[in-house]
Amino acid sequence: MKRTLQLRRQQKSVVVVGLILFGLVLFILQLWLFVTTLEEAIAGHHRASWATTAASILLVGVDYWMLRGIYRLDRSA
Amino acid sequence: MNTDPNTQNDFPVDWEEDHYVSRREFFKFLTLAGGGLAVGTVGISTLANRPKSELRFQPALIASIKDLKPGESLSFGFPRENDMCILIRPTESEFFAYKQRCTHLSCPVEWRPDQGRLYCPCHNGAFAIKTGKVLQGPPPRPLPKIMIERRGDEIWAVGIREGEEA
Ligand code: FES
Repeated sequence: MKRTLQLRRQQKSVVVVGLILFGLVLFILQLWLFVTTLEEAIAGHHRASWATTAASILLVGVDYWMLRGIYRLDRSA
Repeated sequence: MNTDPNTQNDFPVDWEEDHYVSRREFFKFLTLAGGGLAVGTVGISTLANRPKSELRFQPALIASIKDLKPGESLSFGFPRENDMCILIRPTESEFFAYKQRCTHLSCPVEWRPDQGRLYCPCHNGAFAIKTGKVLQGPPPRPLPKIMIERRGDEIWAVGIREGEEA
């Protein structure tokens, strides 16, 4: 029983580390989207800007969803 | 960790604990920073998509139609004498006018009747005659268009419209 619990904790920690790494990748992606939008705006093009904006909002949604997941994991620990 | 019982009461702060950032806090920070970037991206897109500005100025006579034969161009200053612009008459009935400063590094653009486009010799930039749109080279934006009006036999400049993407 004790062993099972420990294993579950280890699994959880792997999941959390995975989520954090994924969150970091999403953050870098958002940074890139921001810089791209800024560059396009300065250059006077704006055809891509709504697409990059939508993608950025979607990524915040994913971030938030993962944050709630981490809260849920912590609560069930 | 402070394990000395004599000082533990006076300095109860556990430095290791104090510097520990929980994974929850870290993720919260990531989400907030991501939210900030998303808000910034929305703001920039909104600014970039605002309607192109049209500036009206005191109308100024550019030239009489008979001064400009089809296929020719002439330079003029608008709205001030030293703001160089170019008026082009590619065909008998068409007239176009643009700011003459290239949107790359401000070299004067010239009309190339053989190619039917405006050309910037500095870095091989080229613009479409009908829209001012960039056709080749490094210019980042279209040429600002001079709004013109035909009044009888004369061509008048009345305003400037920021370069539009076609
Ligand atoms: S200044 Fe015109 S292309 Fe560089």
